[in-house]
Amino acid sequence: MAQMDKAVEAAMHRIFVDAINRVGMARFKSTSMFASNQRKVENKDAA
Amino acid sequence: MTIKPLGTDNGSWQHLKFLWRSQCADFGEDFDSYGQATFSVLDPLADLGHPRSGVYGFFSSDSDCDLVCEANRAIIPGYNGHVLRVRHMTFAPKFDFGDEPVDAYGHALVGLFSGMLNLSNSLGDTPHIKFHLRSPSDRTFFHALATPLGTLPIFESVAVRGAWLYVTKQP
Repeated sequence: MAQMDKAVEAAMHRIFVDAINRVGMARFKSTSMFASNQRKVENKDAA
Repeated sequence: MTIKPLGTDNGSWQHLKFLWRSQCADFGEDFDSYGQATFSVLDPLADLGHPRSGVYGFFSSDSDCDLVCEANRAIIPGYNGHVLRVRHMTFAPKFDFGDEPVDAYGHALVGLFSGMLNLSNSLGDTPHIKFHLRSPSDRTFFHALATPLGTLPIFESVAVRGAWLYVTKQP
């Protein structure tokens, strides 16, 4: 069964941090995982 | 990072909203207009519950919930075993309005992935996890993750297709 150990957890953390750095913090924070961005999208849609 | 099911029956959902309301206030933001798209879905689920769905929080401490999401376990044609579908992934207001270190965002995402992995393991017969990508920005970000995540020994495959990140665990 797939289990996370410390090494996998550390590797996964590096992957996430690298991906954020690669796309840039601004673009990362434009994803729908940030609720204020959902609100901006909703407002844009409403306009 | 601890994953906890959240509901109104034990007050955990109200506690989460209290924590996030307080964080919004720290940034001068109005919680009642914050995250309406997410809370309009999660509120009734946390209140009424559902036999195959739940709301989950990822806590870095008792007073710090970094992320919430909805997880739904279903049988979907074309899959062996159940699929855990993860939707409405939403970061805490401090990650939204503040400038947390990039490491902190990484830790929160590790919490989300490890939490869903553990949840799928605990449910049994759930070899697949799908993360819903609601916007083009989501797809851009998760595309950047798919190939390196797929090299981890715990995953058989990781791929973005359409509006989902598909993860199949190693048996």
